[in-house]
Amino acid sequence: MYRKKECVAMLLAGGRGSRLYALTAHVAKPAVPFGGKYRIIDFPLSNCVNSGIDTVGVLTQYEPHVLNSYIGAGQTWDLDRLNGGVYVLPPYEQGKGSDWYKGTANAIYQNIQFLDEYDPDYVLILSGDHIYKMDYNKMLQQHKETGASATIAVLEVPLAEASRFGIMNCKPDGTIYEFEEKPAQPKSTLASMGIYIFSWKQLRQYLIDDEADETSSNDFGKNIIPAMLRAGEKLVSYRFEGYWKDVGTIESLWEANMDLLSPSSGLNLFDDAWRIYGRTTGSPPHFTSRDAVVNHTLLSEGCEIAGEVSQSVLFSDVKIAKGAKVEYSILMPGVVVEEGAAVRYSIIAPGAVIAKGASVGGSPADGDVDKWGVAVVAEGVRIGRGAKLAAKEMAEHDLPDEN
Amino acid sequence: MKSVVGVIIAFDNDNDLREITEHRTVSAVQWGGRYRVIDFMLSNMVNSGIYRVGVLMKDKYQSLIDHIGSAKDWDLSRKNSGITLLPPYSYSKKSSPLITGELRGKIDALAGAVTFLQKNRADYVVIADGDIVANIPLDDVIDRHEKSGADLTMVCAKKQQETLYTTYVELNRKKEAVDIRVGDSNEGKCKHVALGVYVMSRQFLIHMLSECVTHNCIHFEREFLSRVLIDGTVNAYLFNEYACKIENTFDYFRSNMDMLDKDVRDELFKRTRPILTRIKDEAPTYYGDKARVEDSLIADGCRIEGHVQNCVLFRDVEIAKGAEVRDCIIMEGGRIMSDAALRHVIADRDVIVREGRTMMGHENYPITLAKYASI
Repeated sequence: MYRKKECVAMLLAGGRGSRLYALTAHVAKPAVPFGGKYRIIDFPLSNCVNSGIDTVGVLTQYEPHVLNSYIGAGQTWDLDRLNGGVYVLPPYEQGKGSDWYKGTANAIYQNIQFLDEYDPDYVLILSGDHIYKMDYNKMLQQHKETGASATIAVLEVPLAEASRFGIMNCKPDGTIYEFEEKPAQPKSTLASMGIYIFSWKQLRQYLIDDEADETSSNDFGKNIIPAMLRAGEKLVSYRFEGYWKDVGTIESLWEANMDLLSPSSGLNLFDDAWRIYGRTTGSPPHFTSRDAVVNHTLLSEGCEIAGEVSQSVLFSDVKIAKGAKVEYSILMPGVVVEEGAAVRYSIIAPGAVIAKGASVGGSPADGDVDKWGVAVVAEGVRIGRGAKLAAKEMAEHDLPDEN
Repeated sequence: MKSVVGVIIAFDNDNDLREITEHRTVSAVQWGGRYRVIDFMLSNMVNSGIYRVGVLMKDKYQSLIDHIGSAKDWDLSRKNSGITLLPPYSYSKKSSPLITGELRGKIDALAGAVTFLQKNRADYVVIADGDIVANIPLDDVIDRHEKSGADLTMVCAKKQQETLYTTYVELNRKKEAVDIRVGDSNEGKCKHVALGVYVMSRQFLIHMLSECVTHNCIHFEREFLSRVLIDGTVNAYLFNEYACKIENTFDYFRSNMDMLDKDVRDELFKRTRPILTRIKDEAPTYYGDKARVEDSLIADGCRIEGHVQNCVLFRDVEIAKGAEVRDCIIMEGGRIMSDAALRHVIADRDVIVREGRTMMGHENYPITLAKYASI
């Protein structure tokens, strides 16, 4: 069968996402729920399909079960194709031995055979922890026009924050002459978005050479890009304008969800021309009763609301009882908030229960702003009757009832 | 369980929903915020392990075909079984004496698809009307049918009201039918009604179709069932949970409003027997700063800024600031602009009600706004 594809996407989804703590105890970061009915990985996968890229390898390693069953045959994103489609690629035992994915570059190296099957001209490298909508095809067009060996998507960030990112120092024509990982004194404000397009022939050789170097940590940012720069390859930046957010921390995940409530954030899920696809639960429409007061909130199918909700994102099948109060919070699928309970500035993971009169999280205005943070309740955890979980605290186990 | 083939009657007999069924059959009508009526029977079949389903059509069926698509969303896109769409005159008259080229009702339609019934070598057939909203455990119906030894089992509900086209059933103590009649309940002797779901062996169905066609019997409920009753036994499976046959605009309005009752929703939407429908990938629904919503069922993809009370809103509906919508059903894509006021209105797909417009029907006669209407 003739399988040639012009461009194949490889999505790095193996990371643990340790800065999401309890939220990634049993799921890989890309499988973390986002935005009322999605998971983080829906964004890059939907971007691929919307950009006309129909062959995607998803590299998994850490806690892959949820991700594997979520991706399934790719039907959700219209990626169940006769030729191409979505493939889950875990590390495997090879003829010459077996290895975990040692780094981002090594993960691609271990799947050279998979890529060779499609004989691609270009490979698009994506990560599974960013929320954004982007037409990769425009980036590919630029890559072809400039004849670069690699094109790296960059985003203008505020100078004050530039030292948190990988910074690309570019000439006026966009070619990159230097890459600095988290520089103390940034020379530029163009941050790498972790999105690369490589010409496959060149990248293939760099991956093989990098693997042979025992001192390398086999990472795109640390090793491959610097090696290409040293060799004088043409690396060009691709300027992206629009909403983009790394959701690798509790705060940024919370903020990105809150951004969905703000029309000026630039993140619009109601755009018919660039749909984000996600697997739906098959629940009936949500029901809001006469006792409910709901403002400035996103609600999903299967919710039953009788309490007060504002400034929040509610996933499917969330139940909020009469007299309960929820504000500035993210309630993942199946969360139950019982009578008189209060949830503020929190992320509540799937299936957690906030029992009668319990209180979770707090407003930054209530105390010392510097010590404030988003409260987190882990999957399936029960916060007992009248129990209290303060701002920034994380409940990984049940809290008992209080008298 | 024995092998079963399902047949859904997806054309209208005596149903009339005025504007709503002008361009589609009842099976293809949007219902309950995110469903089409046929979703219930398709889901009942799949949830009961029936993965061979024929859909009999007669006219106005493009909307239905568009909805079903490849039937992936019901897991009915399969290699060796799955869905078979059966439009009228699917098979040649030359292939069977039962195919007469007539299409006067269910019997003609079933006989016309006898080739489909002969090819699918299942033990049993479930024939179900496509206008029923209910979560019926068909596997249990088939199980009871098999154990009872009856020739035919029909799903019945307690009679609640009398209408012109209802099939009334009088039962004896053993829950066997002693009389089946259409249109009147024999002065109240018939305490049950047939919902339009029938189970029998495939061989028996083909035999009875031959009996009916060769004797020019047209009406399934009047003639087919009476013939079975004369020579054999008809068992009733009493279904006590929520069920509604959507036969007119009033049924449609009332049944949608029934969904605002939590107990009814719990009977219809079960985690273990989900009602599946076509996935549209809408974003979650957004409630704005001034939104006020009371006792309403709302699908994904809506944007609500106004006041909504006792309503069913389908996907992608917008209620602007200052708009007041009460006791209404707004189908997909509806736009209710600022300061508009609606009461007892059914708005079909993509209806626009412009700024400040007022429309008011009555509980007993809701106003229907036709597809694409702009007020």
